[in-house]
Amino acid sequence: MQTKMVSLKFVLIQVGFIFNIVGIALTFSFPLLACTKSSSTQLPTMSSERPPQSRVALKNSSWRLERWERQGSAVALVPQTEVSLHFEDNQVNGFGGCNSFGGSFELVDNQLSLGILDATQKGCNPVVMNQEAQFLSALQSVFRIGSDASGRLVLFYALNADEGVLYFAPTK
Amino acid sequence: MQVFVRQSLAIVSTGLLLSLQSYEAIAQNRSSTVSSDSVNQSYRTQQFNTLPENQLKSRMPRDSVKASTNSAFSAGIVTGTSGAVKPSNGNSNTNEQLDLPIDSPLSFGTSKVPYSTSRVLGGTTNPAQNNLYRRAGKLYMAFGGTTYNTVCSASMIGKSLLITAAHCIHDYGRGNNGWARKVKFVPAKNSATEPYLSFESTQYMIPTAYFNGTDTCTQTGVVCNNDIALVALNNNSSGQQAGNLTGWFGYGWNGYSYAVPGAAYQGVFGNKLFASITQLGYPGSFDSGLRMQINTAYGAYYATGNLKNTWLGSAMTGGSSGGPWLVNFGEDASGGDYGSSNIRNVIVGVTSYGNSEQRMGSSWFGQNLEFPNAAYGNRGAGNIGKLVYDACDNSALSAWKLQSKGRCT
Repeated sequence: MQTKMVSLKFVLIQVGFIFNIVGIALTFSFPLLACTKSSSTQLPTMSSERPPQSRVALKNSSWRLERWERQGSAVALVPQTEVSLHFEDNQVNGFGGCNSFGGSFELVDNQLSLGILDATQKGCNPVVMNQEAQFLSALQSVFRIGSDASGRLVLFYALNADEGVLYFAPTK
Repeated sequence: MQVFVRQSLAIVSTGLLLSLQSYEAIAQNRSSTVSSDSVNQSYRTQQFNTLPENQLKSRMPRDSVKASTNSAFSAGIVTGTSGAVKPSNGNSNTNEQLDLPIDSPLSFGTSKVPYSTSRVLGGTTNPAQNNLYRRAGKLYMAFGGTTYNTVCSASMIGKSLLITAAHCIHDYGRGNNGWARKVKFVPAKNSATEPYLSFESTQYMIPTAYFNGTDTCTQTGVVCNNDIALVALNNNSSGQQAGNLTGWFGYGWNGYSYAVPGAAYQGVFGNKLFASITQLGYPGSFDSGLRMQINTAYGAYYATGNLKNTWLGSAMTGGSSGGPWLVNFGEDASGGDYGSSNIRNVIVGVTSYGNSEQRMGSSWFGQNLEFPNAAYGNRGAGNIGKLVYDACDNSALSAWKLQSKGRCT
């Protein structure tokens, strides 16, 4: 076994002020995510197969969730909460808005499937947690991949009766 | 009634640990529940008149039956549908107002890994304040600003030394940009009750590999070798150290209290390295994250390549990260034989990650690729040994040296 001495990063942050901060109570009731009917975006057809788009290069690619459509309606994303995705080799990882997640994926032609995703277990604002949980469920139910004219990564998912589309803008 | 407090130092084959334990004398009622072997006879409760202890003999037969290898499982072997009878709801605990749905004990998720998750129990006002539970608590973190906007769980391993998961105070691989600005620990939190007040800190320690994103991980920043952090807590507003109020847990390494079932039993239990683990935490989906939850399950050693972890079944969710995974949770009864590796209340992991199938994971406490040494000072082996050594003893870290300041063990 390779022997390697690793020192610990020691960090001492001295805060020179006394912050009189009232912690956010994470138990407040928040409005559920609203679904608004999309009028500006054409929802890709789910049942009739379009010709495959140009093959999306997933290897070592990074993406940011830009739009989420469910049952033909746009899901209002929680503001100022970045949701990201990164593909490398056969691994996918990202950030769900509160927690980091990771798992494996398999891509055959335009058929994409993700395995069960592991995620860290921090707690955040319930609205963020709710979006994250639904996002991870959707991601684990992706069955097809595509791209649109804007170069966005388009993931189609079906979870029981819930069908939807996730649009990701490239970040690198 | 607290009888006495002791500090024990033990060196065992697989690890060394420090444990401060408090003991309580518990009066036992001699009321026993008996059942009949007869079919259809109800359970009943009966009061016994007993002989003096020295005249009692065990009627438990010696187990000389060698288990044969299990047959391959077939659904046809098990006849009938499994079931259970609900117990009575005879719980007058005043904490029952929030009758939120929680998992029943001995359940499992789609991972089919069984667990028993519930609220912590006991006491009349705040179960979390009972001894042992109170050594754990809820951790608030401020990321991206100075407002507490994220929560985890954590527990005491010294007078002012807190252990949690590294991802609770740092975003994996983000270097100096990854830190939480500050944290606040509330031991034994129960709804709005903070029986020991709160303890803030801006002084953290995590492994370098986690800081710079080079840790051994099978899922980057999630399933890793060293998702462990220590925090040096400030005193509360009354000038008290947390551990002096709550006590603290010990810690172990390299599989303390883990064992592979003996050859005669592997046919039934399998040839795996197991430990019986108790997990504590404040998952947000249970009682809105306001009450401490407990989970007991068999934890199994999981290793692939250079990764070393422990897995178990659990219903806990977001907010449980950083909570302790303990072996030998509880306290000794007089006269009991607790076998080998039986030091009480030893942390061997902290909640690191989970999935939708109700299977959770923890970094393995002990030697690994990043922390290969068998001893760091006298604080133990591997990752946990090095972290505690650096926090308490390392003379190069002048801002720490908690031992010399009376803030370690």
